[in-house]
Amino acid sequence: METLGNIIDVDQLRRNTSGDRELLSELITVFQQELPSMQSALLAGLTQQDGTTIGRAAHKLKGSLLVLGARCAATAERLELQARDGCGAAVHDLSAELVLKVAQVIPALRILLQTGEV
Amino acid sequence: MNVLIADDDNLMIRLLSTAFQKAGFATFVAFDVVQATMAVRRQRIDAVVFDMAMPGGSSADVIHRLKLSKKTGDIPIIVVSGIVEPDARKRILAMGADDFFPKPPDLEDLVISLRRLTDNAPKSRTTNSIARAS
Repeated sequence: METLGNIIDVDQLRRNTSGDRELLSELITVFQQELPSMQSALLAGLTQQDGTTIGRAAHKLKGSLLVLGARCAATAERLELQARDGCGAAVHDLSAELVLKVAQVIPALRILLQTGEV
Repeated sequence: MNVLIADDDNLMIRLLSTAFQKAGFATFVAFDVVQATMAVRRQRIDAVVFDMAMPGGSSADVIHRLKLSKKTGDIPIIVVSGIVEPDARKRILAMGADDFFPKPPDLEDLVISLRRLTDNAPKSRTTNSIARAS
């Protein structure tokens, strides 16, 4: 069981949003809307065994995750770098890890928003 | 003062727009390098905040072209990018960018840089019609 602090760097999130809860709520909504297309791009890269597409998808996902203070931005960055060397087993493993971790981000953010911790 | 945010990440756009608007800037958005180029040439833009990894072409080429042009060469360009190379800052400044921030940027420092660069920039550009982004 992950704690919220393991999923979200709350200090980073506070710095990004300057404590503006309305902005955070909007960012969560935008991320929720954007996530399917970002994940589709990643999946397309994996299906095509295309390291460039995977790297690009990971890079874009990383950008959004950094905005949200999501610690799995580091996983996205590792994937981005790994994908430069092609589409081997490590890329598939990191992609799976990233998808699992990303799934925790929105629920964690919603809890933080509801509890007023940000 | 009008700031163009050129980034294909909607979250980053929201974050930067909010920070810049709170600081008193009007913000405009481009989602790819073509839109960014068009916006700078057609609208009165006082500064550009640019992502390096955008669709539609090379951001590096756009920065280079804007800086070489008599019409746009004095527009400050700040790059905010998630690129991971250790010499990214040096490389981006060498391209002609005026400042560089890794993602996620420290928003206070970014606004300070934006203010400094727009205060120092010549005020001679003409004003055309502006389509403000929401």
